[in-house]
Amino acid sequence: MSVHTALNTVITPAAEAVPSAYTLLRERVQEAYTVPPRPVFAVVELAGTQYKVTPNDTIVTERIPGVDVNDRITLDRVLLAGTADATIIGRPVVPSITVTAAVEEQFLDGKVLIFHKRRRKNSRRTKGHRQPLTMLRILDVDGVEGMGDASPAGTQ
Amino acid sequence: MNKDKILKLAKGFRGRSKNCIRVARERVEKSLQYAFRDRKAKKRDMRALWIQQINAGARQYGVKYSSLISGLAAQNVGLNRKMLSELARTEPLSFKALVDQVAHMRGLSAPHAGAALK
Repeated sequence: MSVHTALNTVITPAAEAVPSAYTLLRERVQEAYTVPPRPVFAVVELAGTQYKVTPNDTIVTERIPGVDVNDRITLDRVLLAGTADATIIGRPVVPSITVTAAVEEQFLDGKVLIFHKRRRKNSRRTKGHRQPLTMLRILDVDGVEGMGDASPAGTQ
Repeated sequence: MNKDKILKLAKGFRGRSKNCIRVARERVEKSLQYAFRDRKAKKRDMRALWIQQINAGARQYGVKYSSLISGLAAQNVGLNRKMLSELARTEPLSFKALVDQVAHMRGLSAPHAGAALK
């Protein structure tokens, strides 16, 4: 009866959609660009790692699937942003601030040798590994200058 | 690995370990084992360093590392220790804002005028 059905049914929790940490913008970089530096920084989270970025920064992250070189992406998970006058602390994210970045390069890291040896047992194993990486150029931090004095909803 | 690769990996070693293949092979194998072990240890060491830096930065304002971390967790701030230590080093005002926030929420100090609590 109810006991048997409870034992026999497998309850799988509904898979929660993890919000993507980046959005692919439908625009590409057309030509050589220069990024004017601005006195603003943000802490973004991407692929489980956090980076402190300013405009015209270069960051190296784990390979981002689905993007090509010269694509623009927005990084949506901003944990903290700061200017010369103010710091905006996210809990855990600041929803109104995003960071625009352009994909500069998608490459493999230098080769790392993994070597295991069992001594006196005539056993050794060698393996090489190159991690796929992506290099991003930070273009701008959007949504910071307009903060003014009002405390934005959802952030402190 | 052939001899050339071994000797290339043995650059900078002491004495005959960098020149003679029989000695170099042993030293290189040991160095690769150390590299494997230390790639894992590096993560631990860096985290310990960040914790020391965060502790030092927070104690400037009279808050201990434990209080700061538990306070930030209670307020659902998602910054990790790497970022906190980097803020303490390069963005002292923002770090102070975080420390002030924790101190204020714990009632340790009143927020002074101009505190960046936005």
